[in-house]
Amino acid sequence: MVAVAATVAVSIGGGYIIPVVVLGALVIPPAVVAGVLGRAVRWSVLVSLPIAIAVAIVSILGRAGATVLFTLGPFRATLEGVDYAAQIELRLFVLAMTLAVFGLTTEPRALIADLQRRGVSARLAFAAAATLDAIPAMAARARQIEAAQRARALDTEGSVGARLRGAIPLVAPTVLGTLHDVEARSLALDARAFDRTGMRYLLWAPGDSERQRLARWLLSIGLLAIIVGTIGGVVPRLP
Amino acid sequence: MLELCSVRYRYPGFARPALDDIDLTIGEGETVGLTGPNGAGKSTLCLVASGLAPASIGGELTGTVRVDAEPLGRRPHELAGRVGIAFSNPEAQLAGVASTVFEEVAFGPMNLGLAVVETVARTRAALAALGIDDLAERHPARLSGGQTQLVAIAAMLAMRPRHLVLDEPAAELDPEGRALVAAALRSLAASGTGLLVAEHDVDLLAVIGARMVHVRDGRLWAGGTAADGRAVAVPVRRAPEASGAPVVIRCENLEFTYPDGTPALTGIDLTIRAGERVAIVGRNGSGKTTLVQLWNGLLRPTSGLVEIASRPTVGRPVAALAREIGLAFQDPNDQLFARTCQDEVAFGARNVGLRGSELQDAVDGALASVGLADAERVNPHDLGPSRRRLLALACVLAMQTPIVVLDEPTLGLDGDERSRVASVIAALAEAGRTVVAISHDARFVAGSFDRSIVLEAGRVAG
Repeated sequence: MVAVAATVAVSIGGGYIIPVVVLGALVIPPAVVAGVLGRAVRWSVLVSLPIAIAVAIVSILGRAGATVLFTLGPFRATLEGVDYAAQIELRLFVLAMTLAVFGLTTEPRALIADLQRRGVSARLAFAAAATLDAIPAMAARARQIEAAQRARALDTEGSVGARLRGAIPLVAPTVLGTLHDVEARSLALDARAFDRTGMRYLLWAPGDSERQRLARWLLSIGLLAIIVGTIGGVVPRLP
Repeated sequence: MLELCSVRYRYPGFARPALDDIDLTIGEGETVGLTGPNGAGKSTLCLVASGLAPASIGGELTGTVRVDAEPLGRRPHELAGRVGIAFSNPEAQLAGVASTVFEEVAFGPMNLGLAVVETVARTRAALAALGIDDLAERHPARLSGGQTQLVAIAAMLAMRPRHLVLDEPAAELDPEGRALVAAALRSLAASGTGLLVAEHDVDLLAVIGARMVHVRDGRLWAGGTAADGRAVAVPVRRAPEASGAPVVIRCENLEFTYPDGTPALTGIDLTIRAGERVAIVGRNGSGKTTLVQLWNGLLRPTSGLVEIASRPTVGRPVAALAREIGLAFQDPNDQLFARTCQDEVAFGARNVGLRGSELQDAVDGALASVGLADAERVNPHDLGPSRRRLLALACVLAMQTPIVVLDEPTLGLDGDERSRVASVIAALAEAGRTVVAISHDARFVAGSFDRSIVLEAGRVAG
């Protein structure tokens, strides 16, 4: 619920206040409590950086505005462009942090139980949880592939050009290996009657205290307030 | 009783049948061992006997597959309670969402929609049948290979199948893991479960008292040879290192700890000389792969010294060390990416500086030495798993490094393919190159290596 509220609030509200409040109130505290803040920040920076660079270039040099900061050939960098880029990039970072903290702090079995409790089919709930669980496994596989190719003298420490040339030997085995894994896992799941539709009786369910229910209500009310405020013009929209 | 009568099976998209004219019966409590070269049809026969072919993977089946005179179902979940199947890679069989072994084993019964009481009872019984009750609260991802395979088998048993099919259940296990699986299979057969076990390791089949059936070209051949129930014990050779030749690998008080604080190697002192053939043996997780990755610079020592060709590895890039030491990883799928086998083999050789006719000769020679000369234009992913492993070996050979390190080079290979790997190692030694291999294969180690280094819990034990 926290992840959903953070994602929706950041996606619809403009300005800087909402993303900063979401980050400070909803994302960072659980990350600190779970001891995953460092990993979440590293992952979020890595994921959002390439998009952030592209957004910065396009927004700063391509967005029209009255306050010109400098010119670069036919392009004019404007203050409005910088403002727009900063708002987008802040949101990207908060969204990446939300996803990272969700992935690093959610037990797959808790996700399955919760989704099933909300009426999601057992097979879909399993698929969602398995996807969550697959992210660290894919990262481990990517590290293994990089090691295997470096052992064949692939230069991953040299110039940018050398690194670009090395992309295919790294990406292709990752993709093909994942396909092999999917095939093997699919057979193994079939052998365990996963294709059967219908109810599953779970052995375990996550706790759901009065305080958690209250927190969910408060989050829902806050989210509704942001949506109404955005529609009514009280909360700023993205420029 | 599991019966296959006049079975013929063709994979989807293939004109030629993978199995033809198969008649096989497995009685209650009987163990049938399936042997034969790679590509002969053993795995296909396992899939057909379990019903997953065609129920899960499609294709065309003629003839009949029956359990207790009733035809197998058409949908996978209808089969699960009648014939279970376990594969060679135990990790790939885990559901991946369980936090404990108990939950993992309970996954199948839950899928069947059983009440919680019944699921718990079946799970407890399955764990007890394999003697792994003590693993119930452990995390499935933190088990040894042998333990994981037992959990995969228990996960099948919890669905209460009358028969169990196992496709190379011990292929990736160390001797201790094999012993665990063998003991579990004997116990299952004694309790009345019919077993079909495809396996290259005839010693294992002998230990579990299997009736042998041989598969070749998709047909059964000369079945009925009874095993004598005794494995051949192959001693690990621990001859002293050769003297005189220059030292090419030296470790002195080498220590390595992973970034999360897990100690992997402690106080490693060893030397390997030019032209030696050295096997590194030890249990899964004893630090064998970590050790060889410290040699080629993929990992850097926490403390201590590693010297390759009398020069410390510190400060030398991996790409530079790759000219001295070629390393073939355990899983060939981690490296294959090119469109043809020829391009794949040329990749590493080109990276270490070979060009023109020198490069072409290295590629052709490497492919020929592993028996893949006829596959130079084939896409690596169109090869079977064992030929992909041979291709990965060719990739290292073509780099023409003075030191060649192989991580489990005979894993999943049949008799002929293992002989070919042994010949390659003999030829390398003849040419004065140093060969080091990590292996659980005691026969291969005894037959192809001058001496062994035994690792135990991150230390050299002998």
